[in-house]
Amino acid sequence: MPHISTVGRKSWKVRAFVLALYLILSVGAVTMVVPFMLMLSTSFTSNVDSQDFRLYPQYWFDDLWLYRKFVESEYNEDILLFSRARAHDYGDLRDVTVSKNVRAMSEGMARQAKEFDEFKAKLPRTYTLTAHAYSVSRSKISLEGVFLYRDYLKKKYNGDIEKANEAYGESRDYFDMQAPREIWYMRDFEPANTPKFDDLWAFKRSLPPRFYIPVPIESFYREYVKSLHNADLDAAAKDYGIAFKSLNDIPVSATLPSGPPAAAKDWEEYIRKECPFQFIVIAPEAELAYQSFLQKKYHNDLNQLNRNHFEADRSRYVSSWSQVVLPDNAPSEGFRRSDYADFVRQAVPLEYVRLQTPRLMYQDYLTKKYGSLAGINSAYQTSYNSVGSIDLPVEESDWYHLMKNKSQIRSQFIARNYRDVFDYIILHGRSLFNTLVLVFGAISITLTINPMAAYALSRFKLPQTYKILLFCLATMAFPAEVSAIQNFLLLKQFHLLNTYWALFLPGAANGFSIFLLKGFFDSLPQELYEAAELDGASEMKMYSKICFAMSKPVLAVIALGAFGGAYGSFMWALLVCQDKQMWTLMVWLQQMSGWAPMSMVYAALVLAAIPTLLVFIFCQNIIMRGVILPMEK
Amino acid sequence: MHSYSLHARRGHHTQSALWLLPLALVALLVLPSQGWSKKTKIVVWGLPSRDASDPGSKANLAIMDAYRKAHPEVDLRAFEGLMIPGVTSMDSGPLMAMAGGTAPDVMYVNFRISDTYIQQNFLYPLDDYVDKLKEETHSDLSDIIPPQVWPVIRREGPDGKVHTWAIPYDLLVMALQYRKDLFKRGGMDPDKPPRNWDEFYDACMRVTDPEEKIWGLGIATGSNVSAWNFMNFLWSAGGDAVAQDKNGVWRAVWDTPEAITAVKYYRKLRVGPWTKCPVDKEPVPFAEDQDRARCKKCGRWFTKADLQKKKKLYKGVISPTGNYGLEWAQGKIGFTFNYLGDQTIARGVDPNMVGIAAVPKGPTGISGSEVNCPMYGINSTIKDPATRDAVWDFIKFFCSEESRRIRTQAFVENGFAKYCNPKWLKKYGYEAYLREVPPGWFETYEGSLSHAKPEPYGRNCQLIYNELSRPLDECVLADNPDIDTIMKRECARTNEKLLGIISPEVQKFRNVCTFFIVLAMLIAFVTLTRASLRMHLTQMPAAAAESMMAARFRRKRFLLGWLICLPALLSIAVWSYFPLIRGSLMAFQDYRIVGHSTWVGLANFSNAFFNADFWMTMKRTVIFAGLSLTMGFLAPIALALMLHEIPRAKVLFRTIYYLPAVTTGLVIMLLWKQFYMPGEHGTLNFVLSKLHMIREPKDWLNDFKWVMPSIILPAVWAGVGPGCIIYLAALRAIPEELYEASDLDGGGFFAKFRTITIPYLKVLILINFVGAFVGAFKASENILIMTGGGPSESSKVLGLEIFYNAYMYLKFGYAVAMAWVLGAMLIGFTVFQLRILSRIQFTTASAEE
Repeated sequence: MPHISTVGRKSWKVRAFVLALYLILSVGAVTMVVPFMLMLSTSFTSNVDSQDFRLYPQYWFDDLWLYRKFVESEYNEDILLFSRARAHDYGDLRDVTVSKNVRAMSEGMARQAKEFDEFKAKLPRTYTLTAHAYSVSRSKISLEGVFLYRDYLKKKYNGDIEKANEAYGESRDYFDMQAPREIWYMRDFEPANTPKFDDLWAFKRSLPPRFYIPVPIESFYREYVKSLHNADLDAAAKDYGIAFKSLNDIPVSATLPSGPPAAAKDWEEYIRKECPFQFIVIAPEAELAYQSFLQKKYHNDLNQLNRNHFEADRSRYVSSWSQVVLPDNAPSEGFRRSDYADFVRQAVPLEYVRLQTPRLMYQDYLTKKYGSLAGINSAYQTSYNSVGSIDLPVEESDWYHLMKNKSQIRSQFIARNYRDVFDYIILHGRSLFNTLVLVFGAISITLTINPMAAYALSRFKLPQTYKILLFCLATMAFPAEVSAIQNFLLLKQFHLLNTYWALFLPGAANGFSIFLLKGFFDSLPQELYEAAELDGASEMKMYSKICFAMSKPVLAVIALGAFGGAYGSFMWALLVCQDKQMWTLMVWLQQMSGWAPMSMVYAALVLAAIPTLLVFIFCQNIIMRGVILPMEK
Repeated sequence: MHSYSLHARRGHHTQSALWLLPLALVALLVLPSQGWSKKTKIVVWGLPSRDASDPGSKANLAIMDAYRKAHPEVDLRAFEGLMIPGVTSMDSGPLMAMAGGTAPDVMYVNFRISDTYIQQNFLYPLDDYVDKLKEETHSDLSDIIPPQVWPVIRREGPDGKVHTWAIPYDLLVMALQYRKDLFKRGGMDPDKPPRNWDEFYDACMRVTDPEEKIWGLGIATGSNVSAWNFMNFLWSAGGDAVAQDKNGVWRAVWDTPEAITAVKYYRKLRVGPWTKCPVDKEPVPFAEDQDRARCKKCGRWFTKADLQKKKKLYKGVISPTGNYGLEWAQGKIGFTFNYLGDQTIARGVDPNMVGIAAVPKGPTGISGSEVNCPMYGINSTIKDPATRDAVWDFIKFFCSEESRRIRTQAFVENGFAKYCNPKWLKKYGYEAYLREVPPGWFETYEGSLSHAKPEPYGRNCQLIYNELSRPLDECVLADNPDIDTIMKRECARTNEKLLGIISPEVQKFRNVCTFFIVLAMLIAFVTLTRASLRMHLTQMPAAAAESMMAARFRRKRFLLGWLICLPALLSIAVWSYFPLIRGSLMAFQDYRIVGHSTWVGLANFSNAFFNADFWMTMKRTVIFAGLSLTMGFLAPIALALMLHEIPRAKVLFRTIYYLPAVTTGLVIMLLWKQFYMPGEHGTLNFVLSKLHMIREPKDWLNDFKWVMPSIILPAVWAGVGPGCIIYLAALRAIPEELYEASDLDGGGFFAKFRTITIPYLKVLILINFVGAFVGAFKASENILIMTGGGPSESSKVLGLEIFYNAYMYLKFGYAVAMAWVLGAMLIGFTVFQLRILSRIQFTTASAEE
């Protein structure tokens, strides 16, 4: 406390002054610490809770928040899909709550949830979407299933991405894929018979049923009906002659509704224009209609049909229109599909059509299993009024599975950003290796070239010493940008771009470092050299044993500086190593910050800070005690 | 070798490890950097992704699969460029990759960028290939290359000879698309789209409903892009953006009367005042400089002042949000422009919902629209002829008749025959699907094509939209603009700046001015550097004499000494001196990374000195540097003083303030970039509004006022702790006795500060200040990370301008010239720095007790 005199320390004025200092410092310290705490805390979150700005993520201790994150992950971050599955319009996953009786989870409810899995396991793959398997938002947060998917593919292709690329016709660097998005609720969605989708189906089969989301086709039906009435529920209600309190009151019928004409019209519209084909079951009786439809469409040209449907496979050619078979399901591609589609659109007689939804199937399933409504109610301790009112127990199922695997899911949520970033930055490409080479290269060059030159200048007392020093120092007056551009072009001409040389050759020798080190070496006691010379020590030995050994503090400081400079080097690394194979950690980080969601970026920042933090912890003394201070001569 | 070097370092033989380090490094560097593959690898710009499920991508994938099947020996790879803030990936990304040696083998070329690629020698002439193809197919290729495209792809190269440079794979023409539902809503017949300007304006007004946020027209209105859609009006008026004069030189020509007409019409669309008659719902536009207007149906009069009071005076019919893509999808926009393609006319457009029409005819009766082609060319830097042939095979296949057939088939099979061109449906045997094609689409396409104009493709035309957008926006945003003067002025400016057209007298004047400025720079450099060098030399004669004495005895050892010095000296010579010399020359060159560079005299310098943008950048640089220094220079000193005063918890505070230094600068910047997220959920907005320090959430990095402080703050925040360490060490090095003596003399706080502390810290502060000053002027990295120079260049400083010009636009000569100007500005300070260095010596000190 040099400025505050020791004499008057107890006076209130001085005390107030010191107090004020502490206050200012404390406020400053808070602004230093809080950003890092936010960074750490947010790095454990996902989209739903990344904007909370808590000092710790809420889901660590709060089950409701865990649930929100769970459904976010389950529904692939698709808030619309979630709303449809719950038949409730959620604007934001943050508003999702769990009802009290689901929280209580009676035995019957648990049983229903468990048995719901059995039902889901039996659904055809086109009736379910894969949960946790991809993110629909542009964010690329990896969900539980994404890791499983990658593991599955890695196993299948023996961890060789080139084999997977070969099969898929892609060009990936590593297994960074998410499952392709299934849009079974759209008619246009026709995944081709490619290895990629074959693998997806196999992967999907390998998953437990809790990874299946039954397509909430009822919600889509209702939305479509609403849109047919100018997106006005009241207008629709008027046409139907029933009061609709909410969208859920619009009836969904399996067959052509016999009630109000508007309902039948809407149903037809939906079946013909909108409904995905797998939910349309056409009775075999419609075959005749199909044949005559095709006959008309092809202007009675059977050859054209054969060519279109079977291409070169002559064995399957039909010889008359009556041999044309109505497929059980919509064919997946080609003309057979577009013909089938046209048939549904234009000609299928509606009395042969049934709309088959997962919910209706579930009701059938329960009736079959328990015989009657009473049986269902007693098994599940429920009080359904009718079989038709039974909804899919999606909420119950979610809570049930969450509670069963709570700690596992929680730790997965804690780890997943880091896991993903780790995969992305450390395993992807060679950023870690590149950065290691860069750092070690920079440190070793700094510790050889410059000290060597300084040693020579200090020890050999060359007659030109001062000219050499000036030669070194004058570079400081050169405009840095001119040199940088020229260095870039020079590297290009030497074909050294996208090699490690480009990263550190231009900065290898540093005139200022040589000047600095020479000063330090000059101040070493010269008697030591003389003594060593008398003992017949070699120049090398003198350099390492005397000069190097005695200048350790300053060399350590310089090495640390080289480490920091190399590790943090960004713009130069980006310019001279644009090849993805040569990107360093910092370049990966910057590129990632362009597309990744906030929480993932934070996780990456935390990971990237670890090496520097470790160096700081272990080298604290060097940094704090080895401050290089300029003093007037 | 790598692990060996680590092992050796751990061992006791430190000296051997020291010499082994570089060896180990060399071993690391020669490790193979790529896996071995027998396949020929071809990197393609814009390879479709497997994950895409839209019909267009699916069709492209089908083509790729057919290609892969036919060429199993080729490994197709997608080009993955770097994402740089403030750079559009389509035009500048490949340029940077070209400099960096990572450009795709199959280069994507469009009209506006074509000349840059050709003049920079980036494209390999396709003449031989095309000739061979003509022979193979026995055709003039008119089937795959439409006649309108030939002048673009076949023209003079830098060698003065005419070559073919690229092959188109689609033929796009701009047309108008409109939402039928909004048409009906406005009381119009959706089958009768507007045919001329008057009808179009009328229709736009009828559609527009500002209260419901429904707008007549959605077009690009952002800075730098508004000219793109304006071109349709410009051409329809009979004008043009650029034209070739009789000498074949491209000139900007947007100062013609036709162009002025177009601008006036465009201004009317953007900001023309109008209202809707509340009774008849009839649009009532106000004529230029009229305060009254009258409803055509009921004859009611309206005045501007009255309407303004009732908030019923509308401004323009164009969506002001700039987010027209989204609004169009949401059904909030009546009209927009879109490209119609040759192979799939209006991909993804629902014919029940959307109508397609030609661009409305201007007063001259022309419906001018843009024709453009996505094209592929061969990267000229491919060395291996076999690879080049493989690349050509790919291009040939992708642009061929065969791939057109595959695409058509894919569309038909996927149930999207309606998007296909009927011409190709017929040709490939899908007549049955002709009726699916919406009526009129094909006619609109062909009709538009017949009088469409190619997107400007002359010299520097990739920047023509930026150039034209500026006067255009000025004409729109000003209250009573003198459109004629503005357009004339800006047209001349563009001719001069981009196209290099300057009258001889002006050029002469500029050359003279530039000559003197450059001369002054040179003199400053030489005299100041020499002065500082001489000073060094004269200061050290004694030492030199001594070493002369020693020399006699140690002559033999000198050789060894020189030998040990050599790596460092050579390195400095190669990476500092040689660049300096070459950089001096390059400032007078138009430097090309491929092909020959030419001498241009003082042009690079005069382009900078006589360019308002350059001086704006300079002004921003000064502001940025000043702000950096005020915000950041004194903070560490103050912190060090405070830490030095407090009796307890010094280490704790010092460690906390040091925290930011345990990461890297990039991490800090990215962390803050996340904090600066706009909206109430942005971290900083959230915290500050909780503390009641701001009322409304701010878009920190997109706000002209806040952008610079926002960029600087993180560096200050992160720099204060690490920066204070050196001052702490210096403060500790001041002998305690001095203060005690001052105490005895009755010196107060400030007296001690003034008489002891300041003199002791003076050198350090001075050195740091010069360093910080020079650094602040050169700053570019943090700005690049945070904003890339935006918004609207408001954070583009000289360092960044140099970076962009060199590595993004490949104007190396110009960039070097600017770097010299920056260097000349700072030379005084660097020399000063050197002078101080000669007066001081360095010691290590501790910042701890």
